[in-house]
Amino acid sequence: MSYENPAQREDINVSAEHPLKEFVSLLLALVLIAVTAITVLTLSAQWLAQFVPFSMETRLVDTIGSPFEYDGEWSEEDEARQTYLRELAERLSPHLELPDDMVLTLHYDPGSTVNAYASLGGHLVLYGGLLDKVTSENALAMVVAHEIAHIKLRHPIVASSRGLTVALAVTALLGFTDNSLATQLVNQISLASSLSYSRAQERAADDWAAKAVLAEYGHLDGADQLFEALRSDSAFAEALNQFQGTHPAIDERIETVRARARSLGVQGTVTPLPWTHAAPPDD
Amino acid sequence: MIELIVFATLTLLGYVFGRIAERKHFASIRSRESTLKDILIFNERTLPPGEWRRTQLVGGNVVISVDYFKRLAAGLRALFGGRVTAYESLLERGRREALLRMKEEAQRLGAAMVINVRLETASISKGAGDQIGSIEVYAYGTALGR
Repeated sequence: MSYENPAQREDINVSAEHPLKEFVSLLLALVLIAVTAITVLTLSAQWLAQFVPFSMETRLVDTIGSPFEYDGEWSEEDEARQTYLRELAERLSPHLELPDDMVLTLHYDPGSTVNAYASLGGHLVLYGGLLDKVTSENALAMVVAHEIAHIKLRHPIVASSRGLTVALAVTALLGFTDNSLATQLVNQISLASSLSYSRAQERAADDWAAKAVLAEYGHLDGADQLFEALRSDSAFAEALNQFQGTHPAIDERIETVRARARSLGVQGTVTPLPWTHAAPPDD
Repeated sequence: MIELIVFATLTLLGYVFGRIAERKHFASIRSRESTLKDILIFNERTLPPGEWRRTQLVGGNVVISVDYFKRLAAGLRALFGGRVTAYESLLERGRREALLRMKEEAQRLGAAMVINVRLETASISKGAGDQIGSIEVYAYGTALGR
């Protein structure tokens, strides 16, 4: 019997494969699974959100407080504007066929921001900056009806569900109890203007808005004035470019309203705003 | 976000230093194995034929830390199953290093052969939650001298 220790082959116990190759492929697989899971979860959450009773949505907002109330200086003119806007919303809502349990609360914010948004719990916010750009009630009605349509179509809760699901899933996946993420989570339900809607949602809201404006005034003349004004406003156009992904391009929106007006073939007089009493420019 | 940066840094550090350490270690193992190739080791319990005057217990022990990258790679592997190659090379290093240290001890004693060689493996800080563990490999056997 001979006794010897021949040299062993190196590749038996140790894999020759580069460790990074294995790592990257496993990581990619994991990311793929996670993305798929989050997508499925998000889509389900978005779909389920429409079944959340509106009263529950209102209760949720009430527990957070009222972030929509403007708490700065408030003049008589602001009060008049808010009253006027609320009356306008009241006149438009019946045309939008809101469910019985849906209660709208419109807030006027004298801030110079050129914006308006619809949020959870039936809250609408219109900024002074936007009102300054509007020259007729018809154009303003288009905006107000658009925001009411968002609420009617439950877009705020759908958007919040999407944001919340993504935030929750990412938190759960990464196992973070990070403060910044927690803050983001809270921000998702803090309802501010950050709720972003998809292009399809914006189009649906535009559709309903046009229907409501037509039902109220009998024509669509002047309804596109705000879009026109915004298009020529360079600062706003710049800001809008960032939203291009979700907001249908402004040209497209103008064209849609005009095409609708053309197909109706109805002309009408434009209602002036109570605080301008000036005839809107013709275009 | 901070956690993510710390995590990525640890992983990168683990990868770079772990890889350098592993390469150096394997190079050292190979060269020492060839220097000590004349000391034969077997796991037989009976004495091989020949005149043996001395027998003595010899042992070699090594502890190697798992690096952050290996731990992460093994964690990923645990989700999908299969060969944990990150730990395979670690244990291979441990075993061969422990055997080499045992052989060095045998050489110091002037032994020609070590029989009845056994290996023990232990994981240090096992079950200690988030700690990066270490492995211990202990090789021992009976050194024979003429």
